[in-house]
Amino acid sequence: MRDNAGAVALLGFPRTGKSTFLGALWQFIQDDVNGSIRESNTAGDRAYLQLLGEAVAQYSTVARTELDSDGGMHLRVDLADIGEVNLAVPDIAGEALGVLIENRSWPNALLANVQSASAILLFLHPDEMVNPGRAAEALLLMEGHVAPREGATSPAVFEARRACTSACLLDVLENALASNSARSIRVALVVSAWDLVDGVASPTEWAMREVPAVMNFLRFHDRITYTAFGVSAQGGALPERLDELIALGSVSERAYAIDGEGRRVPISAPIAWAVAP
Amino acid sequence: MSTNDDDLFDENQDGDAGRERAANVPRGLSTSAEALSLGEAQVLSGARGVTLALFMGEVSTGKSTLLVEMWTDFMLDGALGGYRLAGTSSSLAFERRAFLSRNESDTDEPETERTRAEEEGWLHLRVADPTGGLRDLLLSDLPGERFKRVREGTHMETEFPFLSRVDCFFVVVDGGGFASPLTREVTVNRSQRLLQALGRSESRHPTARVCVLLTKVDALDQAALDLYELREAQLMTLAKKVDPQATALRLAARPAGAPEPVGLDGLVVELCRPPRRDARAPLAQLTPSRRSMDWFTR
Repeated sequence: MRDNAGAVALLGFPRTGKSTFLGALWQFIQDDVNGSIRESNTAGDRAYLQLLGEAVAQYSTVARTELDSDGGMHLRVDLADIGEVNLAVPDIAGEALGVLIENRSWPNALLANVQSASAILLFLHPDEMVNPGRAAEALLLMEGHVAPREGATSPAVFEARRACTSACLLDVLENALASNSARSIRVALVVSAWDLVDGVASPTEWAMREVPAVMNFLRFHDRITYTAFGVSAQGGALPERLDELIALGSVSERAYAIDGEGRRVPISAPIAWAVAP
Repeated sequence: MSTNDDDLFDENQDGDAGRERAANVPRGLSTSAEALSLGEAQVLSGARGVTLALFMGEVSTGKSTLLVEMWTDFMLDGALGGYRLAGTSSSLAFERRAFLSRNESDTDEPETERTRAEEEGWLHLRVADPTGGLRDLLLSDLPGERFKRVREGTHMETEFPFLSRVDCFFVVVDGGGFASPLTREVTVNRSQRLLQALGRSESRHPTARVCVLLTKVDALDQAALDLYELREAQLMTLAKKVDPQATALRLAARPAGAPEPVGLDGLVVELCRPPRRDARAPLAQLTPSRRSMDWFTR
């Protein structure tokens, strides 16, 4: 087992599904039927996890994590084919990455998490991407279809949060790797709300299409072992598919993950990969 | 962030000024949202050697735009010219420069902001070549006014004390200026004078490469292209006095009426070309402080 094998950093900008994933994972862990992951020791404060899990179980949106939150998943689990692991997965607010990008400083909790992590799960949401599309291309497409605007418009002002997602993630990863002294580290791109993704066979294919520079960074970094997952914590879009999801049953029955090759795997698979020896 | 090159390249300080300046990078971060000074780049670019590329051209010749569009291609495709982007310490600095050319800015007219003195510096890329080997590139983003001063007579060494560290010089010929008969002659003269200044410089490293780079090639009609063929040959004669293996490129980073750049893949290939083997520096010049590769590995 690697040093700090159970220390996993969940990184992602706001609304990328980190807390929802934790909530679904907690519900899955509690389900005795699943053979993939279970609690080894049920003692301990589970208040935060219960909050997240119940929101997912009730088909609700998980509340946004506060910047000063100290919640997370800290428990001993027994993972199939791996054994017992002390999981330490803080639920760091997405705004923490915003502070890093925009204020150019490390929030303490985020830095501590990154420094001690043996693996990073980097969350992206398909609907929260800022793409680097050229205005020239869009303007050409609109020509003849959309009337030009009248009058001068004020030039837009650059803010780091308006940088394209790939560039922001590169900045995060460069700094995270520089802050973490482990000789090797696992990094998984986790595409949340995978049920919304269409037209690609696997999360790896999606990531190569949407954030190719990030995938190349992971590929060529000599300390990184990487993969990609897609996760659907609810099993489908809410509220549009509520009736259908209710019919599917519990969180354990409807939440799922997709591995890098496009195979359906348990929702616990990203964590299992992260802590694997 | 200071941009005073003189402080950075005082040889007597043996790199201390650069290291001190590197402390200006926000504590705990290995990247910068601004262009890097060479001192900062020395710390951030890692142990492997780094290629310094100086883009030489006056105001509005397209220097920053080609950097912006090259970066955007890397963001869109992850690769350019067979080279894959493998990292950068300058992602937000590039994004700042690219912003006004993106959909995100909601602009009616894609543009690149003029480089100001307080924003000048170096932008870092790490690329993987087709065999998987990694290279670090430092690309200059300097205001055109500095090259105007050189054209008007300031010594290259005075304006650019880091000259001995540059691995490749890209002398930019403004295609927009060449396209018009009214400005054609002036455009060529300006590039010519930069090549002449480069040829006169004594601290330029003898293995440094030279490329004559025509920007905005889309602005030239066939007649202008035919004329440029002749002028390019003249400029290449000057370039080959500096680098017998000098090359020429033509590109359009933001062609009118087209959605994508033209020729940027050739630029990346040129940036990553292996160093020259034909030249031998005199023994007196072979000190670590004058060889750009050694400066960044010691």
